[in-house]
Amino acid sequence: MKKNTVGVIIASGEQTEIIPYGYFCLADGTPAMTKIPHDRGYFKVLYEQHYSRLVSFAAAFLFDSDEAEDVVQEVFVYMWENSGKIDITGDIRSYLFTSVKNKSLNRIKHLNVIDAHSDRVSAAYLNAGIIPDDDADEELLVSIAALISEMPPQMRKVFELHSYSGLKYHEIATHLEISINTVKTHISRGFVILREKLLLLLF
Amino acid sequence: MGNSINISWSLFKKAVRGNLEIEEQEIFNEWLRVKENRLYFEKALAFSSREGVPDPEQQYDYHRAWLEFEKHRHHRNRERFLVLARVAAILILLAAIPIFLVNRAREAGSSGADILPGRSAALLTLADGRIIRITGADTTISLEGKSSDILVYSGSITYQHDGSEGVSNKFNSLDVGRGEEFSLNLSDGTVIKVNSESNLKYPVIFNSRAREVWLSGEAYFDVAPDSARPFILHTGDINVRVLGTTFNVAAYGDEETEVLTLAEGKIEVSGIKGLPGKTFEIKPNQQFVLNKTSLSADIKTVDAGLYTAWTRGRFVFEDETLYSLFRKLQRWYDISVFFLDSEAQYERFTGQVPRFESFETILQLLNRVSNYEFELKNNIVTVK
Repeated sequence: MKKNTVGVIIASGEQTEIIPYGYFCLADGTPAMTKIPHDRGYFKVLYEQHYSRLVSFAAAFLFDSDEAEDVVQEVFVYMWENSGKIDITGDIRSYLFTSVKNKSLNRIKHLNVIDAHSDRVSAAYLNAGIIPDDDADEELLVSIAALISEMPPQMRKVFELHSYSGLKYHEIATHLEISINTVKTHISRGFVILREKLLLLLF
Repeated sequence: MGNSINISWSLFKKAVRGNLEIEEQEIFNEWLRVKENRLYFEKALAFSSREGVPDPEQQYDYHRAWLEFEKHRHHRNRERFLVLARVAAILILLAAIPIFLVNRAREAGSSGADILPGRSAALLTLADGRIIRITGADTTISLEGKSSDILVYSGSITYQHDGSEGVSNKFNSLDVGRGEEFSLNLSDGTVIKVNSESNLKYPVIFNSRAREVWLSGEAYFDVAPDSARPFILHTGDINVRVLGTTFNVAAYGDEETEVLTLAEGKIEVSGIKGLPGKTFEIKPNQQFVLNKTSLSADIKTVDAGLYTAWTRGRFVFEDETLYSLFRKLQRWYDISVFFLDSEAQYERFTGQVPRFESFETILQLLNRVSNYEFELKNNIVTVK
């Protein structure tokens, strides 16, 4: 199973297959695309899938829900109006989160709080329920790995398969011979643990 | 806006937790002298003292945001939408006003590209032997005897019947070449969209007993209901009989199978080569497949939308081999393909691509997902 090559892994919440027009998929269903479709249905799915997380993500920079929602809306509107011109090399989730990150950082640039190790970026991903990617802070990744290894065995296995191997819920369920609901429970509980313990790193 | 000193994120975090050392507190106070910084610090304090840990997936409701987005979208697109609505209305009225319809998608997709997608064009051979090339311009052709006038505007031919009885053994032949597609509106209201490398033969006027046409290649039929006159389609190898339906037939001479896919209505297939006397009844979302080599027939359940997607401007592939994929692309784009690695033909793909995209873009997409490499030189694709 391929790990998400761009590195941002959505570790909780279903990964669904969106096949908007203009895309080819690998045999395993992963879409690879070049342009954002100027398609209302596609954007609706993006909202359904990612809106809440994106706002949580922005809020971790801005500490303001309203501003966070503004930033996310700006990103979607920009995407819509420039859909013919934007080239996406990875997947749409990475594009969305990177855009929101850039816009959020821009808004707080003038406050002169310097984040030398991209600490707060990693913390923001965790706030959004995402395990940050490989070029995040070493220390943070080590802490996350440590916390995962401390989880009860089945929860740990589920977590590793989902976050590091990129398996989907039903694949994990088959692999470990447990029900899909059990898988989902493990993932959400695991994330609560991570967020609770690692939020100490946010503040 | 005051220009403040810089502080580090770790200092800021400490301040929020209330863990500052004396010297750090002094630096932080200096930073706090700017109003915006103070406001931000207050927000951070409120954020850090939230009760519990909300679930980021549920915390914010997308519905209101989606509505805002839609409002914005409609407002911006209103202008463009009005133009399109007008154009669509004119099509339906079948007015003989010269209109040059610009395909927006084609414009956007093919600017600067060398290999253009197909377009609406065809060669029409009239019963009296005249051959007319039809492309994007408008023409009105009247036939002798005036029993039928043909209106042509880009993309389709419409027959207008003035009600008089004509001779029904006069035939027209529509040839749609590589890289072309064409729509035909017959005198009974039936619409037939003909795909690339296909030929349709049809009488100028249908007689009173049946409406018969002959197809080689691929076409999409939207047959107007007429209980008095069944619509009969002949390909080389099957006869299809319908009363009023929409279906797609792929009957290319160079393919091993003939495939009929029913979208709506009911169809009877008979006169099958190699299966004399056998009749098959087809229901919506069923597909009749004739294997011309083994002379065997089968009915499958499918999603008819996949097989009619070409009429809506898309190629749709569902677990299809590269070989099959390229055969379809070859009919639409002016290309030829060479497989340097013969294994490549068996790689399978699922996806959709707009038909009016440039070939280069499609090849780019293929390169992205395939284990093989695609190179394009002049009009030749090599696969390795």
